[in-house]
Amino acid sequence: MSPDYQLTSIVESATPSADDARIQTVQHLIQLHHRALHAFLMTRVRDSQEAKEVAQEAYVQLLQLDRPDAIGFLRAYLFKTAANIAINRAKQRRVRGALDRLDDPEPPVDWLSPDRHVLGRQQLWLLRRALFELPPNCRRAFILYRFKEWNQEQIASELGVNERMVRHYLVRAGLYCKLRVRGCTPAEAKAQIKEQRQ
Amino acid sequence: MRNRVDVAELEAAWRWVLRLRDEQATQDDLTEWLRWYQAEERNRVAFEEMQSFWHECGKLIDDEPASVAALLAGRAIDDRRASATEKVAAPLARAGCKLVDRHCDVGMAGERSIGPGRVSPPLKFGKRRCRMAPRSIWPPGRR
Repeated sequence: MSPDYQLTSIVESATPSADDARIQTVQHLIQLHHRALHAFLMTRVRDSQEAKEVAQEAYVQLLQLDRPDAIGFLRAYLFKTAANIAINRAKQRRVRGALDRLDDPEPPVDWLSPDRHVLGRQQLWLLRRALFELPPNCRRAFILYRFKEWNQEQIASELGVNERMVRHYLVRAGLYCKLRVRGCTPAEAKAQIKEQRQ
Repeated sequence: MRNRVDVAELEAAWRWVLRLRDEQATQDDLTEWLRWYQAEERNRVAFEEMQSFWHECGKLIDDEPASVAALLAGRAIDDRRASATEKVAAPLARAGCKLVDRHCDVGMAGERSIGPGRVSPPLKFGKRRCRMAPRSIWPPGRR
């Protein structure tokens, strides 16, 4: 993933009086951390396109920063800024989503090609099977966390366990489902996780 | 993906995905993750794979919200049973429709397609009542 396209547009958007040294520092920072920033943002946003947009916005904010500080500070600032932008976008999306649902009761159109559709259906089928194969609490924890967007504290309270246990459920559920989706049988997936624990 | 090392990396990556998703993640968490992420290409690949899995999971709620609700309630949607039922029910239903079309004066409305998971055709009858031919003239056409 090349960050070139960001560099061009950011340099263009900087004010003419911007310090060249600072631009170079930021460029260096982007080159060093672009992939990491994208990966980090993917945990917070909906898709790769949105991650790119958030990163772009964070780079612009970084360039507008008055303090020409050490790269360590700039890196922390970059990630923090990007995280905040992602959080704000998620909030806006939730509000917009609720309004859209009120406005438009039509189901979304599926533009996937037939082969990708079939592949997607198979993966979803496997995922559904994998989730059903999990122990009840483990399954509930994962579903509440992933699909209902509950936090770990809420799940702990719902299941009557502590947060550490919830984390354990989430790790186990995610790993098991991932292995199943990748083609392991239930026995293989369980064995690999068990082996890993030992 | 069949050896222990890969599972270990996937687990570490998955733990990081969960930790970073937490809005309370601190700067220290981020620094630690960055150190781990940039230490090895395998870490990066594992992280991106688990993060991609996270996004794939989202399709389940988009495409099949009912199945998520069923899973939450601890009910499985038994695909094998549904498909077996469909295999038997679909031809029977189609045959039934043909019979009704041929021998009954029935006003039908709408499609009679049999979609996946349906065990009977969604027949919608019009206002007119079904009038079966009298027994004396059964089968029709042999009057």
